[in-house]
Amino acid sequence: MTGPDDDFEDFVNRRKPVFRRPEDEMFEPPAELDRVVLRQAREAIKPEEPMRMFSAPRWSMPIALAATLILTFTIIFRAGLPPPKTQPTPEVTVQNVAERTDAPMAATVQPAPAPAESVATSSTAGAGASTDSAAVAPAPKAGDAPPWRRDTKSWLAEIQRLRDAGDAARADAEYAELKRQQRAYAVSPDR
Amino acid sequence: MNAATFTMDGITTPENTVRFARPSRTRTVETVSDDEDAQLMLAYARGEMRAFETLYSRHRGALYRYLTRQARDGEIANDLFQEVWSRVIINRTRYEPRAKFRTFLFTLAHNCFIDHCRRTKARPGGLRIEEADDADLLPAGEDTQPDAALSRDETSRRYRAALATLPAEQRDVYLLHEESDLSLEDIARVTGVGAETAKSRLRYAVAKLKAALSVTEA
Repeated sequence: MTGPDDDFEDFVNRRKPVFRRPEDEMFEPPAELDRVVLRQAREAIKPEEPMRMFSAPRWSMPIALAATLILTFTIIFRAGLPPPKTQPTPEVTVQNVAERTDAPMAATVQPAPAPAESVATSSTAGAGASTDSAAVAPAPKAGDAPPWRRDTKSWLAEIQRLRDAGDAARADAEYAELKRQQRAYAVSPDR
Repeated sequence: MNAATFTMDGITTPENTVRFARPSRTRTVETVSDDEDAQLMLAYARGEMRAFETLYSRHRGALYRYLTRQARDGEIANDLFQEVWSRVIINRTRYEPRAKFRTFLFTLAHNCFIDHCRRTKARPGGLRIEEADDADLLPAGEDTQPDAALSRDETSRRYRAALATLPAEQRDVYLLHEESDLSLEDIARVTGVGAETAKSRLRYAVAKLKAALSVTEA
């Protein structure tokens, strides 16, 4: 004898059905729904394709490789050549500056004949003061200047040569003249 | 632990589309371990589509019937079915085999249906479609009762009508028991009640269905 409780326990434990279930209750989802779910599942695990900035043609890789090689060899070849000859930058020294300023300085050294004439006329006026003839002596013309005075380097070389030759007096005189002209240039208002 | 499933053969075509054979009328019991389901889910999380196809073929029918009987509307059931599997797919990387996969699946289904009821402000136990069938629960008169045995359609109609009259909680527990083959403890876990409460609901549901169907079979 089985009671309702036993029947229910059998039902719960799936040993015996309590009532007969209609057979056509065993329906299934439509095929379209299957496709939708499976497509979604497939797309969810699809690995993401890396974003391509552009689609390069197939020949672009060898072309790029060749261009890279050419560029590399060009750079290496040019780096192996001796450097082009360039004018050395002169060192900035007083002597170099003086060399660069020799030409204009020589051009500015002009003869002063007029004072000589005026002094001559004034001396004839009876002052009799011709003692300052040295002070009023005409300055040497640019064309009369010795060739070593045309630039400071030659001038210094000449001074050195005189000193080596034992002519210290002329060397000192030349050196004093050199310094005088450079001081005159330094204070010149045209500079 | 063995689980009962409906016989379905997943067929994978070269186009990588899967078709499922129509269900057989007989309900057979396959030896499918829950560990195997869990392993299939983990394999799918690693990117094996074939694992998902197997998993889907095992549970698609039960889940669809559960949702269809709960929603009592084909379109809504389709939407809920898709939503449940979407949640399975989305949560594949967070899935941990701490519980049976079926428990996990039907918990999702239960929650989806509750969410749907909240969205539509529908009472889960409300009658909408088959209210007309309620009259069929009453014993038919002598003059209207067919002489021959009731057709399958008639039996099925009465079954659905009886199911529709059940309170939502009882119907939920009964459908989980019938379709998911979960144990009472698992059903209680899915529905968020105690095991005794679930058992009590199931007892009432079975008694009402039995009464309704025995009347028709008399």
